[in-house]
Amino acid sequence: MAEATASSAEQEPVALSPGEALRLRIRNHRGLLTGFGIVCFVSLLAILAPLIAPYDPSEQVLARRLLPPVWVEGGTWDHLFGTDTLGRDYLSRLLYGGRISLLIGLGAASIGCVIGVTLGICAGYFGGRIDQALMYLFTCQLALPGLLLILALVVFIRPSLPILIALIGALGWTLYFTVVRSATMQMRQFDYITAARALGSNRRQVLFYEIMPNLLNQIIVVFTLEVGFAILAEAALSFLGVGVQPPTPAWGLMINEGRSAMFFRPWLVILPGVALFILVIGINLMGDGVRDVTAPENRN
Amino acid sequence: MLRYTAKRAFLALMVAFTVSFATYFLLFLSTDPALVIAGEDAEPDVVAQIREQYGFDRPVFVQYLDWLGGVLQGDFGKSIYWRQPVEDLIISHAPVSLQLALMGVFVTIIVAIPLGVIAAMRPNSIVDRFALSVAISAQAIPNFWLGLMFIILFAVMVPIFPVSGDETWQHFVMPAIVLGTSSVPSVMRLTRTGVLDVMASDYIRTARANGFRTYRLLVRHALRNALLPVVSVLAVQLGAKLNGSFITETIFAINGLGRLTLESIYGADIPTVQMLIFIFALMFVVLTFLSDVLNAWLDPRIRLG
Repeated sequence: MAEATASSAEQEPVALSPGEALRLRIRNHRGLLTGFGIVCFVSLLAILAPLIAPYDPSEQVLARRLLPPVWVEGGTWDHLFGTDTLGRDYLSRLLYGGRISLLIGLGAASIGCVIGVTLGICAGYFGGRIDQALMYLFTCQLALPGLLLILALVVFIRPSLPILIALIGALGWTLYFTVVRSATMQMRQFDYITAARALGSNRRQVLFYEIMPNLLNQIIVVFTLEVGFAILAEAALSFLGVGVQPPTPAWGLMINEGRSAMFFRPWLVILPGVALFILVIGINLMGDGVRDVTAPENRN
Repeated sequence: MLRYTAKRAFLALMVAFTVSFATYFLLFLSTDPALVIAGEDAEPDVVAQIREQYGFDRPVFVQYLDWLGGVLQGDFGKSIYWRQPVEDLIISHAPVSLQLALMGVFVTIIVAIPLGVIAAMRPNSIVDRFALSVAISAQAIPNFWLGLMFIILFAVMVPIFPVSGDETWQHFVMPAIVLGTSSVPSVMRLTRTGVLDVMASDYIRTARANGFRTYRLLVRHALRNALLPVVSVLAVQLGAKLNGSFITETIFAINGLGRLTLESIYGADIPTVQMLIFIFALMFVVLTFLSDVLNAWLDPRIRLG
């Protein structure tokens, strides 16, 4: 323990400004940098998919069905990752699939964020009856089998992208709620809130100018984690055939489509799964990293 | 203690009712059961007749109370798709799911707890880093994909365990590993933090200063306190496994409650889906209640604070 303190004291002299100290912590955090790199790389591939994809992702060439990837015997450089059961270029589908994953992840996490942060601030700031009522709502939500309920509703309403995003988002607010609620509760007692009130700030000003900015770090951490959850939830639903509908390329759906051929052509299942794994691990590393770097207890 | 238990029990009951109504209402809003029974291209007057016959034309609240009254008397309704009472379906599918969930939690325990303890004994060591990367990876792996990888790997290359069906206990080994993996990260992190906190506490430091061996301290004194929160999380995880196993059950062709729910959803069998979701919520509520009470019993600070 003593050693650790000594070495970090050497790295962070007292003269550093808070901004410089933060930058130093970011530079020294390997997980955060790796995660950030992965997320940037995958996002870039997804955004640029129309420019870099070698083929149209839904173009079927039945003469070129089930070609293996280039590193497997019989693979060609024409189709780097081979083709699927309908003769569509697998690399192009993977690139376009990233767009769907990111779209659903960001969309659902944003919806959950708006709901969870609003309810969390209300519960933490007003306390009392409002807090009790919201805590009750929170307990009920936890008791619901989330993914199953989403699945049932999506099937009954009709599977479509907006409904999928809305439902995953609407049921994904609980983590924001707990984090924001307890942070707001703590903050309410701090002197700068009292000072702002004494200076004549009304409730809205206190919420938006004093409380919200201080919640930002924690919200970012939860947001990244929720993007990961939402991406995996969408993949699971698409795998079961109730998420993204064909012919739209989505990684979960590709795993589903490749499943019938997986014993003899395992790459059809392995590749989209690896893509999911890499993206989600990048997102989670980034979230964990942001938490480490911004958490107050790490500051000297 | 009695007061605390009564309060918790009342809350659990309230939550169960609220959840059942919320589910009923959501499913009611999302589809028209009469149309499902009659078929997509039925004549409008046939649909209307079915709606009247089944009582779907009544207000949602009346229907809900009717349903709830039946449930409280042990009548869980009749399945549209399977054409048998829902309680029979549940009774026939529950044992398999229960076995899978228990085995899954067992896998979590034997992997996550030792890993968490070892990691906490040597913080920032190679073992700790290894444990952390296991946690981060397990969190990012799509669970259904892990199941498929196991099937490819073990069914084709190393056929040790059967990969499909639910006849013998061997059938449950691979699904249980897949299901158990999903809760390894949270349980491992919790164990690690718990052990770290306890090992840094005054009574452990005093004992160490008095010359007690670290290992003996850990087993005799530290684990007991460190694992308190882990026990309650495991109870909740068991509840989550009971309803979260539908994908695993589907992949490994295990005929449990999860797969029953999934097939009922595909069959638009609203009475069965409604009842199953309620049962899952109820199990979660009961397990949370039990873990709360257990924790309060073990730790007086909770029930008095």
